[in-house]
Amino acid sequence: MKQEKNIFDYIKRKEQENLSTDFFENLSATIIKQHPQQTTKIVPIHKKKIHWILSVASVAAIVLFMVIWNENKTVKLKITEQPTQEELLAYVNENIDDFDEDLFVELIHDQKEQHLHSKDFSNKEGQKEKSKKQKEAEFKEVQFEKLNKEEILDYLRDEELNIQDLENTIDETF
Amino acid sequence: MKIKYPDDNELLNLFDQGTSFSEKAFTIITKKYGNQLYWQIRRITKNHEQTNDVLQNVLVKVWTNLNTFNRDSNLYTWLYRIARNETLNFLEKEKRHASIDTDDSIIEIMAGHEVLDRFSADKISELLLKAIETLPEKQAVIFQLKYFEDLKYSEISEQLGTSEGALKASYFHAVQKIQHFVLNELNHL
Repeated sequence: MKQEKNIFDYIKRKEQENLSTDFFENLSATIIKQHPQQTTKIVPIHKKKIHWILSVASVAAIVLFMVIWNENKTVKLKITEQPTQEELLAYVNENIDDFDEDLFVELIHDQKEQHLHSKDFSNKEGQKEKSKKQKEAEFKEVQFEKLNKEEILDYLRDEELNIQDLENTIDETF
Repeated sequence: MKIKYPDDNELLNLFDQGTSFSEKAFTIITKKYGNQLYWQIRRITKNHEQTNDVLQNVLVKVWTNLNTFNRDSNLYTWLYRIARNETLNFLEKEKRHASIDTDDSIIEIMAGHEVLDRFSADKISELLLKAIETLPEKQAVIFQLKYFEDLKYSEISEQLGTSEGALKASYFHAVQKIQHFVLNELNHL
């Protein structure tokens, strides 16, 4: 294979005559004179180290503040005292219209149970634990102490409820 | 005797100080790289008057934009790029006008190469400059500094911040590419 001759072996560059430094000094002076407004160096904000440091410090301060603020914000709720019976009844009387009937019954039951405990069965010194059955019996006694059987049955008939089942239940109860 | 100019970073730091310091730095940069830029332009324009006009445009751009120069790249490469763009823009505008007296060819041809012998020095120099345009920018800069400016690899290394080994390899590769381009064009003429 014929090897090509290197063209640079046959090409010779001509000598170039460099211009004097005075030429360029005059040229630069002319340009400076024609364009006197020297713009200040614009350093992109992301290139200034100090801006990076301040940015990181700012973010760290904000994060720290938020952490501390959240901790202080958590308010430990006080364990409020339980309302007294009088307070509860007063509240109920004031808001009786808003009450759901079922909740109302439940409230009264709770109150009466507490009353029973405090009056008849409470023994502050060495109170015995009652059995579940005993408690249920006490509950029924309280709930139905003012009603007799006939009154109950009349009510049920009026409400068209299943009497037979309930009669059996009542018989067992009473 | 070659003048020892300050390092590019020193000059840029001086420029950053503003006012008279900027003017001083700009003047030194102009003197340091003026001839290289001048001849880079003149090889294409082929006359002093047009070269002077283009060079002024280049230096105005350098003076007004040096404050935005990104120091991640080499200063001379940045100057080279401005000079190249201004030269091409200038030539585009000048196409409409009648050409003025031009220089002689930038090269001489020695007899003995069967292909080169068939063409004029002007034609070959035209193709040579076209071939340089096809090179990557940095490689074109290296070739121009080595071949036309006749700088030593150590001087180019200092100017561009590239190792001498890398410069030698790049120059060798540039020579191969230019030879291939020129012969290919000449063979098709």
